[in-house]
Amino acid sequence: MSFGYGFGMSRRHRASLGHNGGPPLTPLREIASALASTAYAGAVWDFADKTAAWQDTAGTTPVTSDGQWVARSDDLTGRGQHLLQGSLPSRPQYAPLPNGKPALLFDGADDFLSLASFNLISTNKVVVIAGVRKMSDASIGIVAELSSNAADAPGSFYVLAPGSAGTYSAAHRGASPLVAISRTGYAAPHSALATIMTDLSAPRVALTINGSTSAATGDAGGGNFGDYSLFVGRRAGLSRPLNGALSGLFIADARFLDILPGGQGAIEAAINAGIEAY
Amino acid sequence: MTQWTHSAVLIAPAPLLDAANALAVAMGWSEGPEWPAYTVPLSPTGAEPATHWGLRIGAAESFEAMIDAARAGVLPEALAGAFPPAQVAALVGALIVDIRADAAGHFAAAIGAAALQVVLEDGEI
Repeated sequence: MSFGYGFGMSRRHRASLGHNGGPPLTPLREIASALASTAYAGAVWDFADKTAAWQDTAGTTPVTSDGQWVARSDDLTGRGQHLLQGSLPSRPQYAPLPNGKPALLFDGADDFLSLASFNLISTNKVVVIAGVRKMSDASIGIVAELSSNAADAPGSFYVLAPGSAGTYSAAHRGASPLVAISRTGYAAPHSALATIMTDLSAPRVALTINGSTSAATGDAGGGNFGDYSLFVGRRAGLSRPLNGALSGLFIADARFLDILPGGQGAIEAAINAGIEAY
Repeated sequence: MTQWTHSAVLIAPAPLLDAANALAVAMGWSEGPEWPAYTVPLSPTGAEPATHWGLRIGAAESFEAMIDAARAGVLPEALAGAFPPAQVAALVGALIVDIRADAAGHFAAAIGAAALQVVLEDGEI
């Protein structure tokens, strides 16, 4: 798959790709470059891409081998929306999935990454696509959450693995309380390509697990999404730790899908190449 | 692949949280005070306020010996001069330290053995 530089990737964005003199242009890097060439908000993190992972938050010591702790995962758009963790005990581990492909392993205790400000105020439609492997159904695990607790924050969302035993769940909220959707029948350990399409104006939140979709249409209260911290692997860095692994994460204004060659399917294919969920 | 042969869970009583995090910074476990090492709030019932704070970290086999030495007032080279040995000995002596070979389920087992639960906000799903 190739979208090429003709999509509008600037010289600045070409120069910002990765470290060590420029890693290979992977499908997710091409998608990130395409997103960066637009005004749409969003970010792309490829947790399988060792060249985008660092052992310090400043990005001076690269991850070089399996088993190392990841302090920073670069946002591949070049917008600097890097996910960070400055505490060694709370860093996820760069480690292989059961399929042998690399990912970030979250220990289900205290591991998480965060981005201090993830600004989605320009949109009421967000798409989240994640490669997830959950190791346990014992307790709720945060894949990603915009804000320190989406239940309390207008214009926010979360993705859970699990939301309850055997499920994946997602929710969004505008001015009104959360509207949530779950998909059942996925007992841990389980790998999933999870796609969440949220539209606060419809209103509708849809959760697709490995190609199978359910949606909820309750009134989420309208409005746009907010400018909050983004937490990956744990709620607010305090609770609901993910016991599992992530291979990649894409979060953006969903209108970007309309102009991306290949659309949603292109992103799903790129992330599923790592998690091989189905 | 970097091999961490052991898993360590450390639990600090809440009144010692600042000192425990400062020691973690000195040990190179944190890039600074804005990145606390002990981040899991714990209490006997799971209700606020937290009475303890916990962490889990992959560790080498030598970690248990380092903890035992610190409790005896013998500090690793990296800490020599940074903290009075007696202060470190008192702090480490107050920590709940649980070291096991298997990381799977370790944190939950360790806090369970200490009769603690993760604190959730009222009504938190």
